[in-house]
Amino acid sequence: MSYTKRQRGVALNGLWGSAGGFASKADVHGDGNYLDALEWLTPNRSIMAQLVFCYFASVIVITAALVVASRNPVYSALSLLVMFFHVAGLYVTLHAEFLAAIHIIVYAGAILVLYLFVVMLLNVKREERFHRQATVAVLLGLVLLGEAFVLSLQKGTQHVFFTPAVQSDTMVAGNTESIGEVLYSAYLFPFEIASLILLVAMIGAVILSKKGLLEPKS
Amino acid sequence: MTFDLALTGSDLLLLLPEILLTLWLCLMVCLDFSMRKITHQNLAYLGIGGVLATLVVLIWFDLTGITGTLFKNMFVLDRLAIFFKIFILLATALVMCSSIDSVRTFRFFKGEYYFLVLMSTLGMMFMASAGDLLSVFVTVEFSTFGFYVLVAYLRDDLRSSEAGLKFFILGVFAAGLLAYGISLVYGETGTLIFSDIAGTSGSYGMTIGFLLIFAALGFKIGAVPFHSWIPDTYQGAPTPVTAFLSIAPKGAAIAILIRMFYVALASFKPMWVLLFIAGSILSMTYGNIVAIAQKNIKRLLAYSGIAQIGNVLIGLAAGTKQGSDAILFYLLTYLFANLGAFAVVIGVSHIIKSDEIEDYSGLNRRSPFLAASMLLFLLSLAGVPPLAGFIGKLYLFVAAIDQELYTLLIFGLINIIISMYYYLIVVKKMYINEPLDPSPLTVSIPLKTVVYVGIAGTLLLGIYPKPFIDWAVSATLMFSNIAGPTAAAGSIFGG
Repeated sequence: MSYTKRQRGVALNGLWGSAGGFASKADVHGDGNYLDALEWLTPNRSIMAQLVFCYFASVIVITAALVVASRNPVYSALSLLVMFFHVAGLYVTLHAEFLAAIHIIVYAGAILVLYLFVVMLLNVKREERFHRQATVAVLLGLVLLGEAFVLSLQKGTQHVFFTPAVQSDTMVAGNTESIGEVLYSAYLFPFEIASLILLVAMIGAVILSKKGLLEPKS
Repeated sequence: MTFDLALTGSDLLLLLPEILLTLWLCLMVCLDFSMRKITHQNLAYLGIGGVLATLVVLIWFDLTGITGTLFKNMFVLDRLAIFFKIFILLATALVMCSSIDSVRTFRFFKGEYYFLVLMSTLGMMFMASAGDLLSVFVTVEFSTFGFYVLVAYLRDDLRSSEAGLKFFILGVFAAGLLAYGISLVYGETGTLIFSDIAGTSGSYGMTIGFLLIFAALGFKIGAVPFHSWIPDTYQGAPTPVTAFLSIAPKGAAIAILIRMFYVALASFKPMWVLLFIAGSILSMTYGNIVAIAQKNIKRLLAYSGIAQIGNVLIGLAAGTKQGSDAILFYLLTYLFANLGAFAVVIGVSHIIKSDEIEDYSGLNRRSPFLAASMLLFLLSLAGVPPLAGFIGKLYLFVAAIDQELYTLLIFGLINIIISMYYYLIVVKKMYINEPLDPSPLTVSIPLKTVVYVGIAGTLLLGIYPKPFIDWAVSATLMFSNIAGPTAAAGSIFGG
């Protein structure tokens, strides 16, 4: 089974764990061999792995709660952004670098747009928009710094953090290739459906938002 | 292990109905954009032609027994899938036919309406074939996307926009539940394919996962307690969209529910049977009691739809092959009676511009045809012999008796009486009250066609149900070996 499939299993398992549950079983290899997922986090592998996972998971939970809890929509958007970065961090710890990069590019990009929408459309009052900017900036800066630190550590010493359970050929090929490979073969069907969804969404967006239709006809 | 994609011609044949409809859709969009002269009626007839062509292909599949699976069980084409695809396409053809009058009153984007209807249809056809949880998610979202836009189609109508927003928010919430449930099931079992999940042993995570998936699909079928979006959305949406929403997505979601619970979770039957018993009793009772208070015919049909879904869940509560046969047959009877009733509502509201039940007063004087057909459809929905609804309900109750679900049966019978009451209020208004405005109503030809098809279906299924029952029985042959009476359900609800 491909490396990507294994990663997905682990990634989902990780997310499941982050939600506060205890993943009892997970097919981390994707080959029918059920490993105790907690074994993957046990000290004899690496205590660091546990710590990093706990950090990412807890920040994800906290920021996700902040998204709905904050009264200021700008803070909500920012919390969402921080959350996406940490989800991307989880992907990195699972050796899904490509997914992590895509996650940041797609979601952070989208969040930026959402942020602008909030500021422009929701008529957030000027003082609400900018107060306590410094605190947020420092907090975010620290988080991003930590992120960069973790990422740079990953780059050089990935096998210290997490020893891949299976060394497969796709590991050598890199996960971008293996994702591409399964996307266009094993998961071709959902992929094609997704393209149809985009078509519907495109036409729907035009119908719902085209300007100049509601004015009375002259 | 490397993946290879070896699709042969005979594999692609299984996808022929979907591919045909997709190409037809693209043709429609191109024609709509490039030919200024093409009217929306012609586009509608072109779309109906495409649906009928796809129907012919599917009937050919059904007669020659062409079945198979593709993409490692992600796409399953068996008799059950074919049944539901034919069901969905029939509903689509009738809805498109009854839309023509309403689309004429739209101020913009007339052609795109049919495109979106067909796109949703395509999504629901894929739903009927979904054989693993990933394709369940993608196809459910696909079909719902079209509906998000269709519900909010009347942009200058506040009600429609509000309905669209409510539907969208709750729909997205349901999608979130679905995705989370699927991730839990995958985390626990390591597979997404129904037939592989069947071989795994249960765990708490898996239970929570499937409960979440059930909740998300409960939103789609509008079962209590996941029904909150239904009344407002049904009232605000353009009436043909309401008609479509009230039948086709429910059918497709029921197909997924049957497949998921009968294939993937067959060994956990004693547990999920209780879930469906509760859902069925709640939906029937809540829908019927709240329907009594309704003043708007679309809201009345919305609540009646919630109650009808309660009836459908009786079949799943039985959890036997007979139960699934009964569901399939009942959905057929519901298709004709419900779409017929909505066609009458469309016809009336098109002229009197109102959906209030009060305005149906004296409908018999104004249009005996519409009043008589409405009477027939409402009686079928209530389950009066010799109409289709009676046989459908009888079949479901027999399936429940077979499993000794007497409590469920008693609730079902009480609910028939309650539903009779509010259906007959409408009948009384139509036949006994004096009309406020006695001018006669005229019905357009496409709408008349839909009403006639509804009448024909309701009478035919009621008087000569045998071929349709045989069809339903043969569509679920793969469930013949599902476990027999359940000890747990029998002892708790045995009466």
